[in-house]
Amino acid sequence: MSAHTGSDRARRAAIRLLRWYPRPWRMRYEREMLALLDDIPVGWRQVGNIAGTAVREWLSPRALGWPARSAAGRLQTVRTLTFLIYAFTLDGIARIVAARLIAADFTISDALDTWIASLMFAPTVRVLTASVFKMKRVQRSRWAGTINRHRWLQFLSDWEVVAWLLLFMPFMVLRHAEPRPSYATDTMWALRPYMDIYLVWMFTNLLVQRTSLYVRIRRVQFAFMNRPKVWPARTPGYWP
Amino acid sequence: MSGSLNSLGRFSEAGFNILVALAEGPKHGYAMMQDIEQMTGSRPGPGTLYAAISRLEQRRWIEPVASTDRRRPYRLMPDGRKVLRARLAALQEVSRIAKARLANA
Repeated sequence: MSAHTGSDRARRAAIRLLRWYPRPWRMRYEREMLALLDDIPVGWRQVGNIAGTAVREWLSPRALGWPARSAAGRLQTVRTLTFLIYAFTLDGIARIVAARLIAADFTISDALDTWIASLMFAPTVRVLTASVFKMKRVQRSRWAGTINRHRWLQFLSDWEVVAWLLLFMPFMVLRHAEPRPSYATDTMWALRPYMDIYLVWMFTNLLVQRTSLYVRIRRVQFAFMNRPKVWPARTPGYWP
Repeated sequence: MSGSLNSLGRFSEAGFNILVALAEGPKHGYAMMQDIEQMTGSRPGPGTLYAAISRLEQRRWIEPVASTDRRRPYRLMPDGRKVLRARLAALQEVSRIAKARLANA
């Protein structure tokens, strides 16, 4: 039974839009949705509806496609909480140290400022090069053999991450100790504590993304997402 | 797992309509859509329909029936029946109060 009375362009767009849904959703419902789109007249209103719900499915935690009860899911939760606790702790310690420095009338010279800020370049460059070495294009190049022989080029060990993270402390102290710059508006200054937490969070994530533990977690995730399509008699939802 | 239809958020109305459609017996997506259109006069979008189905299925209020066809039928589960009964009772109460107020006005 087919009711192709809608616009063919809209139908094609609707079918293409199904690719926008999270992979776990597609594995569970795409086939049924395609059958439904075969049956109903599809117009641009339906296309808009599909696009809207695709966004909603991505916003839903189920979009991660992770078994919430699985080891990978727990690891991810622990990792997120650890980073948050780390970010707040680091920021708190940096504030205390900065307050003491201010109380002791310690002046931050331009040279010290530049030196501490430049400390942040090293870990950033390290993470970026690790990501570049992992790129498919580089992996297909003639240097792939050399790069793969030295795993440290692509992955950061946990200790290396800890070492790089410690470099963040002087940077944060500096941020809290320096006086309000002339260009900073009231809004900028009010938002600064949140920006600081975000900076730590982003930097920590950037570093940890290239650790071997994170890569293992990602492997579990991809193994789940690329699992074979099976259609058991009773599927309790698209929760894995 | 029991609960309220309100937990479906913006899909609570679509969820309610699906439960009503399935109260008659197992139906696939297109059949549900037609039934809902007959009942309410408007056809839910395909995205809304499947978003609601996935949420109902996650709560075990409905379940898919084994099928080799691409059109997979769903049936109402006992928890879904309970939720539907509770919602209908609440609607009846609202309807009773509204009628009484209109009669007094």
